[in-house]
Amino acid sequence: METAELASILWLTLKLALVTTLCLLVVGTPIAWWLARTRSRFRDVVASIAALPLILPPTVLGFYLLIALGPSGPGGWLAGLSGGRTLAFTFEGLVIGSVVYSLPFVVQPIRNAFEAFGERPLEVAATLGASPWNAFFTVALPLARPGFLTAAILGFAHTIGEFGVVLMIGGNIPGETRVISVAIYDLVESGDWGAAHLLSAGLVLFSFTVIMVMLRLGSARGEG
Amino acid sequence: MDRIAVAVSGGKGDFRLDMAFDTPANGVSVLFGPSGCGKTTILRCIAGLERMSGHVMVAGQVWQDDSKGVFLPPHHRAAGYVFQEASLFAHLNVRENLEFGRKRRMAQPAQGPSVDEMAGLLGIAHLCNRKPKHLSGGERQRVAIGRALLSAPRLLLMDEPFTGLDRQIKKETIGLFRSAQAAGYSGTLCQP
Repeated sequence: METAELASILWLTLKLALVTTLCLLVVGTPIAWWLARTRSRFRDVVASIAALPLILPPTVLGFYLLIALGPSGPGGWLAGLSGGRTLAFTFEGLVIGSVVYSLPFVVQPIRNAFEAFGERPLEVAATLGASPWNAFFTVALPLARPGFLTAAILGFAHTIGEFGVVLMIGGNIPGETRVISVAIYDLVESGDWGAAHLLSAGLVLFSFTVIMVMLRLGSARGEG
Repeated sequence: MDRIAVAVSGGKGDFRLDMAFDTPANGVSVLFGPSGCGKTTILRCIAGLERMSGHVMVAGQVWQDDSKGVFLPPHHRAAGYVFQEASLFAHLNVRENLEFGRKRRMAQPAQGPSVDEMAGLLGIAHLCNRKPKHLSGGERQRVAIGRALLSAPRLLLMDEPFTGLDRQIKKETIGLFRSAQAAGYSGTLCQP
């Protein structure tokens, strides 16, 4: 494998994980907030739907995403806005799929963080004259910071590690959807074990580092 | 004019509350009653943290009046609230906690004591850069009282504010309410 090709794969993977993580935080925060605060009887229904990607095989998720992103689904309509025909097998489609796939890993830690400090700080903020929005940004978000950190790391790492969904909806298009996990599969299939070793070892090292950092953050919080 | 008129009734499960009172808006009024009779609920209804049917009027302002469909949200009521546990913001230090209410107060910011004056008054000036977790229980409670006073409330609601405070601090805190009232902005309603 050439260096330029390797760089392209690494850059695409990184870009996908970064964009996905940002989208996950934007989408996941309101869901987590609602789940933590609501007394609606639909809470557990929504929580279950948001947690589905945890247990569904990526192929099931990928199959439905393929339909949704394809020419006759909402994704096709969305692509039509910018002159395309489908969101399947595109970078944008991959981002949407990754957001769905990693949602539980982001919603759960943020929801836990919101639930941990309870109603009281928000009540205090209200009696001190803070509007609900103001209290959310000046009290709830800062208090939930550790949860956001965990969520961001998990979402990022989980996106780097996904394979099935990418294969179903992204394929293996260089520069567009060819990320590390798919590239490894491809390299093994074509007998290029040297390059497969390189990428695999890189992912092992990356995953180890992520878990170490999370553990360190956790114990720093416990002591602090 | 300068009265607090409250009537609330409602219930949660087995608990029924139905009470009304009228008391001067200046000075200190105290709610007495056996535990579980609804003292905290009344304070929460006045602050707008809980809603029951009835009316809440403070010094000529209508905070709630069901007959006219008025219910001000808590952040639009000039009510300071000191909770039973100090409930300081863990992510802010003492000074930032004190500033939180002062920045958002409805009265003119120029009126009343500054953060530094309040910290001096409460004997917590030396703690200004500490986070709440490094304070004792009594220190936390004093910061919470100062924070509520700095929001310039027309009415200060206190839910067992002296729990866990020793005699000396109790005496000093009561003196503090007197000077807060002398500064002109606070009536106090508390349960002891």
